[in-house]
Amino acid sequence: MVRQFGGSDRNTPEAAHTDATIPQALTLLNGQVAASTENRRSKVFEALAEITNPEQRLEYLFLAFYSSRPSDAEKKELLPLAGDREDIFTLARAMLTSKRYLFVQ
Amino acid sequence: MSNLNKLDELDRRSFMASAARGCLGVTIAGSAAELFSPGALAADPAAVAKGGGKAKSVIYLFMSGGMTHLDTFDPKPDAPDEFRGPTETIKTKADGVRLGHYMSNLAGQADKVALVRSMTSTQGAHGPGRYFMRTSYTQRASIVHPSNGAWVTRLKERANKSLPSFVTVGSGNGHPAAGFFEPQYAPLPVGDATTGLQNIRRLRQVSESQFNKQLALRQLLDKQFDEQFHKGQKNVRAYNQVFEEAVKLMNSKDLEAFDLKRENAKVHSAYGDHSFAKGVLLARRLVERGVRFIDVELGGFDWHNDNFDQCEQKLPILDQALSALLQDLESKGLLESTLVVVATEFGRTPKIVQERSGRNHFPKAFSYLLAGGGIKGGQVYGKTDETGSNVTQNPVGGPDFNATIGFAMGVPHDLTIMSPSRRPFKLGARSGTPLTKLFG
Repeated sequence: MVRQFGGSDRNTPEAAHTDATIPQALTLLNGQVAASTENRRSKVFEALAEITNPEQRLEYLFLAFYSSRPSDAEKKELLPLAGDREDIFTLARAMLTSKRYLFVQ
Repeated sequence: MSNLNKLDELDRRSFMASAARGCLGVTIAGSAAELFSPGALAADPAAVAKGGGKAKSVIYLFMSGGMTHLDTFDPKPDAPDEFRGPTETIKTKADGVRLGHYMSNLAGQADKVALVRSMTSTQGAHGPGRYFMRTSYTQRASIVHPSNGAWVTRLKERANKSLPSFVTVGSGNGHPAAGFFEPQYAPLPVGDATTGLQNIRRLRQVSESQFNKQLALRQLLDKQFDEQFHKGQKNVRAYNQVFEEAVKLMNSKDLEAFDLKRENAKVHSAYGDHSFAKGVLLARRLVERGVRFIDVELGGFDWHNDNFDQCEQKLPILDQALSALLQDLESKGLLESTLVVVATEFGRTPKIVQERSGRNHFPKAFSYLLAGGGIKGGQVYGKTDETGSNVTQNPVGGPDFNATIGFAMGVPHDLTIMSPSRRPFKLGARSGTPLTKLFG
């Protein structure tokens, strides 16, 4: 996993890289982490099952994934999804693959 | 065929690209590079006239660690014991082509191969050596040069729209990949051919409509980010492109190429059980589906100790897989359109280090092998002296060799592409000259 995301193989110094590759995208789309959002024992699953208010659900998801609250525009667009059991997990998986984790220098 | 006959096929962009190439000899990377479609650059009439341009794909087998040339492709039966060791020289199917005795299967296929015994380099460390042979340029801190596979991908039109043109198998993270080229020319890295591509299927609990919804949501979430950064940031664009490519790959009807279980037991046993052998088999399956360049790496050739024991263990893996590949390609009618290369970063010291029975790094002289793709089989190019220590005829450098790959593929090895930092680069570097004599 670490190697796939550019970690050094430690055979030579500085063998790490920061290039995006297709297997990375596939891992984020279909891999274990994506699957874990719907794992009944996962914290996210437990929390989302407990919260019934769609707005609070959305807020929980944003805080858990992005450490920020959704903007008003995001609330408007995403709130309809937060009420639906299937859609909320689809949103969670989409958030995992979004670019908010990128650091632009 | 002359390019003039194809004028009616040229659209305005292709015309501009051809004109720029013809008149100025240049093209440019970055955003304007999109103007220059590979289609406009694909057929190089100069190469075709000299017997090049027959290859549609390249299988590039890289022996990582520095493969001994004296025990494989350039044996020296008349050299003193301290150079030769226990390695014997065997005759092959081709007159005058001799091999080390570890390559007994290949001996039966020697009529298909051309040996280049006059490879020479100045790079005596592994990383820089590999980098140089793959890119034609010496490694430096300020830029990463594109590898030969990325050049071919860049210059040759994509043949399969859903599979990437460039695949690496078993390569470490040190591979230069697409270098400064746009990410669309980067390889699809496959770690282990036996396990194939991981996470290629949708999660069981995710329906197709939910998956599509997820992709749309990602774009929605990224909208602001893209507006701010997409244009100027190559890495940000790369992120979008790899997602597009990944989804394309998930939906590809050719995905079964990665499933080696579809080959019968006879084929598997012909290639061998080693993961490298599976990589070579995967390469053949990808060639059948139009993938342009497959770089398969076999590591562990750095034999400072016990060179000859290592030869016994390691070389049969290459010998078996390579021989099976050549036979397989021939029987499928693919040998003429597939260039097979055996490459390495450097050779080994001809004089054996007696106390360790090993050979050290030796970039001054080493050997490569070519087959298929228009190569005339059963020949030897270049020569080393009686101990394999010095190139005495027709020295060939990494840039020459990469230019030869370009020549075989019918792409212009001397086309200048500017890096984003506005510096000029070519597949064959400044002065790489293709070995046109190898083609027949």
